[in-house]
Amino acid sequence: MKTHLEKTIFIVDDDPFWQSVLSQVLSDMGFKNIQLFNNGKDCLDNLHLNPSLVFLDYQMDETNGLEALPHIKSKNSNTNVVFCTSFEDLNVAISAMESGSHEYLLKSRATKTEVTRILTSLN
Amino acid sequence: MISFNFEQFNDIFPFYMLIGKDLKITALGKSLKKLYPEILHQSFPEIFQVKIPVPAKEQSADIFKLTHQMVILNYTEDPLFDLRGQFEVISASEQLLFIGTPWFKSIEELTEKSLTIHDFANHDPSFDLLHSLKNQETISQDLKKVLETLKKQKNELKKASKEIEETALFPLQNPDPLVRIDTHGSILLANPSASKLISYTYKNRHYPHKEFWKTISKELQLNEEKQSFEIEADGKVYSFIVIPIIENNYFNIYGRDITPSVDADLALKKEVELQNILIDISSKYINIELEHVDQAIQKSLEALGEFVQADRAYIFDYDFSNETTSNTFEWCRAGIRPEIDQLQQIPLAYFPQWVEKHAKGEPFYIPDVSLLPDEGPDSLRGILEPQGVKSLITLPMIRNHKLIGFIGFDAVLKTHEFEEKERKLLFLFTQMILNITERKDSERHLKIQEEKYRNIITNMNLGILEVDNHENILYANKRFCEMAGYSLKELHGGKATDLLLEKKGHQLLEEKRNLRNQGISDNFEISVKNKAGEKKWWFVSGSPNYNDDGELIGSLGIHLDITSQKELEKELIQAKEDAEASTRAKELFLANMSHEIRTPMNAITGMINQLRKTVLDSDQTFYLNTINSAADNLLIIINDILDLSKIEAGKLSLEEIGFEPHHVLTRVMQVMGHKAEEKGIKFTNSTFDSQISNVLIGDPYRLNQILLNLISNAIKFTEKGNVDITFELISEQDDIQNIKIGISDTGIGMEEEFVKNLFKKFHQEDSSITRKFGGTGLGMSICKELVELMGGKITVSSVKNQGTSVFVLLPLLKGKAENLPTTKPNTVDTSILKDKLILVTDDNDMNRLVASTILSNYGAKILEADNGIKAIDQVEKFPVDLILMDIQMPMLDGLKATKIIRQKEITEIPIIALTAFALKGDDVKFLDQGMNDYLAKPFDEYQLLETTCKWLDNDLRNDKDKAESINKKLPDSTEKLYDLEKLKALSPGNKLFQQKMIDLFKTLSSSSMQEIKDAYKSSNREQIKKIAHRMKPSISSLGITSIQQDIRKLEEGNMSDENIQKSINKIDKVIEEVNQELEHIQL
Repeated sequence: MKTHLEKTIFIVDDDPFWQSVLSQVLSDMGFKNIQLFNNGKDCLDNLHLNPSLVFLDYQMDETNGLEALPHIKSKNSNTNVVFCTSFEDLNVAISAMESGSHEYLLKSRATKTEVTRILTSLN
Repeated sequence: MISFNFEQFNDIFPFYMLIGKDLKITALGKSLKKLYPEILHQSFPEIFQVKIPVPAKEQSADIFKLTHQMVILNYTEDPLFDLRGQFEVISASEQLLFIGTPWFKSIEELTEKSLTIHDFANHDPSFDLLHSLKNQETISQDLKKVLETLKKQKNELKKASKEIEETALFPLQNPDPLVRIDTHGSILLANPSASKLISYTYKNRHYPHKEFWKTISKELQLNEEKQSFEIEADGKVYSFIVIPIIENNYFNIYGRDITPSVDADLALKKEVELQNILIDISSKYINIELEHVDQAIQKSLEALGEFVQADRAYIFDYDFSNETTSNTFEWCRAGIRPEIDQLQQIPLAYFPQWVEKHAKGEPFYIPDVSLLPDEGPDSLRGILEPQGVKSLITLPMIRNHKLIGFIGFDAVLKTHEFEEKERKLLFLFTQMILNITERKDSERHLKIQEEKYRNIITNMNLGILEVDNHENILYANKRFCEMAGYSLKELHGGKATDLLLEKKGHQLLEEKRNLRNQGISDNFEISVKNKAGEKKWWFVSGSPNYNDDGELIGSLGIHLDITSQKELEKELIQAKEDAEASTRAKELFLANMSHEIRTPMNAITGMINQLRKTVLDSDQTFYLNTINSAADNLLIIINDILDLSKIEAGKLSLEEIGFEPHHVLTRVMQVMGHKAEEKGIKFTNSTFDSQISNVLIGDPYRLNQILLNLISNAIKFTEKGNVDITFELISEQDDIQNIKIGISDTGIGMEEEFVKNLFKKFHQEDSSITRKFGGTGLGMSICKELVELMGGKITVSSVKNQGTSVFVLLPLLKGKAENLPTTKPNTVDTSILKDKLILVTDDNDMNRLVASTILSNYGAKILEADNGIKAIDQVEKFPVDLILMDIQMPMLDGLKATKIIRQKEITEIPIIALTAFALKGDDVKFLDQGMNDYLAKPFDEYQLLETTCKWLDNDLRNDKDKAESINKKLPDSTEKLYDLEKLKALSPGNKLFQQKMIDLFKTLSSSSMQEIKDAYKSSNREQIKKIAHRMKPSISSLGITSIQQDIRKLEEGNMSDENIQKSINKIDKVIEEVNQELEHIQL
């Protein structure tokens, strides 16, 4: 049984800035296996790494978040997906929740507390 | 968000219940409604009992706390009716939704309630499970029945054959010697008269009893042939007939004393012969194969017919359902015409006397047909004579008190008198035939049954497995092999546990084995792995298996593959989780929206008031007034929404103060009067009951709100005519007056159907109404909620195109003049503000600006902070007189900041909370955390001044501190270009990270700017939107507030080209400045 912190986490986003922010927050929390992907396709191609948690951006060039989400869920329904968006748009967030995202994270609100809260709620 | 229309929802959850805040059931799913229409509008706790979770003693559970778990409800009117499901709070309407399905233990319970599959949602697995269970039960019952039948028939057969054996053999009372010996001559059985014989003379030698039978046995042959011999014993001559019983390897030997009868008369000889025939027949029947029975019957008919000198012997079956009888066997002497083909389905009516006799169990005997009365061709004689019958006897065959047929003998050639003795013997023969036919029938029946069940077992969808006490497989049917993926050969002798189970299953099976040892059968579900390694779920009905002696020899299991049901169940759970996720998303957003809307509203109204103070020309005043009324309208709508949320959350509290009803009336008349005037309709007060108490106790503000709402509706929907308001006293008990307020108009009226839905939220008769008349559709709903909170009732009557009357019935406590609140002078002494140092803490620039501007107009000095950390910092550095503290702020929110300030023992500075979080009704929490008061955003100037002055006047700290504090220097408050606090907070103290992010920002922002400019050049608006969207988080993270608005606008993309150009230029400039400064940053 892997310990909590050894779980694999994917960050899928085409914005390197956001990737860095989030991976810093997560590695500060002690997570060791953080994989970064620039688009939905790369993420889907690497699902065999069996991520426990995927932070998924909504807007990406190749395969956007909403398209990638069902594929991730169908590959492994136990994978938790947190939808990341800088759109403060109810519909996107709700579509994501309906397609199986467990939480969503507004990029403008991304703080350590918020990420911790989300991780706790996923537990 | 998932949105279903009502039909769909009803289809998916046909047993749902919607429970209002007052715990009344307000809506029902179609199937539940079909079952118990009476429960609608009843109080939920009165008619339903929560069974699971088990409620605490002596109190009913608070159902609003039962969400997020499985509950089982019982309808108290019907102890057998349980509902299983879950509660969900519909936060939007503060109703409780119960989603579930009946919890039946069997399909019979279900049909008793006349529920069918159509009453269940298609996804509901309970019906399928019940069906599987039912099938299982039926099959188990059938199997049990087969086993029982088999056992019973086996016993009957045993008994029958034993009886036959006993009738035929060895009656102990028989005066003749009867012996049974084996092939070696050992005596197996001998009746008393045989045992009495001492000395035998055989071939001139004398033998003792045992010796003789040994000797004679050597001459006997164990074959089909009957043998006989005569012998002298104890001075008498005996004739012995030997019947070999091949199957059993012994001989039955029947002796007869023939000493006195060597020359005896024919009759006696005949009787011996008859007896021999019977013995012969009966012994033949004992072990006869079924397929030989017909032949044997035929033969015995012949033997007996010959014997009684009949010319025809026959057997008939009675068929009482068709009232006929048919010939089944017939023997005819040579030369006698067979009649069997003519004698099929002969109506019983032809032989009434005959049947009557048989029914009584008596033989029907006609010694001489010619002596019968001659009564025409349909009489008995008329029937018999053409067949040439001269005499006949028929004997009834009665089995289990049921007449099934008869055996008969005809004399054709000459009349024959059937003697008493003959008749008795024939009777005996009849019994024998009965036995054999019964055996034949039951064996055939058994065979059919066996065939039937073998077919069922082979073809059914259930896997059957028989194992011994050590789980070794003895038998598995075809279906089981398919389910397991193993062939019967692979299974046979193997251990089911080893082949199919995973670790957890072993334990379960061990438990089940213990049950079987105690003789208990039960059903259970188990997860197994088939040969291919696929995980399957089986439903198993297991029972102990016994042998004939009742010893436990193993167990028998019936297996049903329920993998797909299990998957369905899993999907259902998933669907439920998805639904919950949606609800959570919605709640999250509602909380955010409340904050987000109120914050800018605060700024708008605040700034309007400030603008009003400047010198304006008439056009500007007009514009400003228009803006003001638009903002006021918007505020009303927002307040409506928030009111409703509060009401639904049960967070709305009402005032209990004295007020003058006539004053309330006058006010609304004033306010609404000119609105009516504008529209050219009359607004009147036709009745005000003088008996209404001058002072009543209640909430005048909310009453005012209700009346304004109803009247403005009335005016809104009335084009001509008038609106009238009435106040009447309906009744009075003790201190309470029941007041009826009526608002009637001559407006467009409403359809009956619409009146029903009038009080539902977000409901207007026609969506075009919204466009024409405006409004949120919440007003009526809020009115109703408020009236009900006040313990009153609201009713509506309306006729389309004639008008509408709304009546509000309120029970109000009578009050006295001294209950009226003393009105405070509407002025605030603002002089106290002069030179006071006030810290305005709010993360929203506009909000800070509003408060700062107002306060500084009255001479106060202002410090600003945009988060809790900075606020604490300011408080420590400067002698602050009062703090305005926003609650929701980044970094450190107002509550936490207040707590920290109070922990630093700074107790004398009043802290006033600024909150847009009216939704949660957290006022108590604010005060608990050490705040002194609170202001709800948006606040107006008067409220702000009143509250700040009140607390400054109350100043908690010593005057001497004040004196020295004034001199300290105030900070410079120019706006920062960027702010790394947010970034630093992400990974505190991690300079490497901060540097990395800054570098990243420099690179990314430069390239993004280039891209966005290129996109602008090529007029690619989509691309601009996309890049702006991508830049937004990093700009926000670096706190570059001056361009956040521009980025957002670019992202939204509704700008003119000119404005896009402006924004891009501004962003470009700011980013360049930021990057330059970042070059030299010291972290």
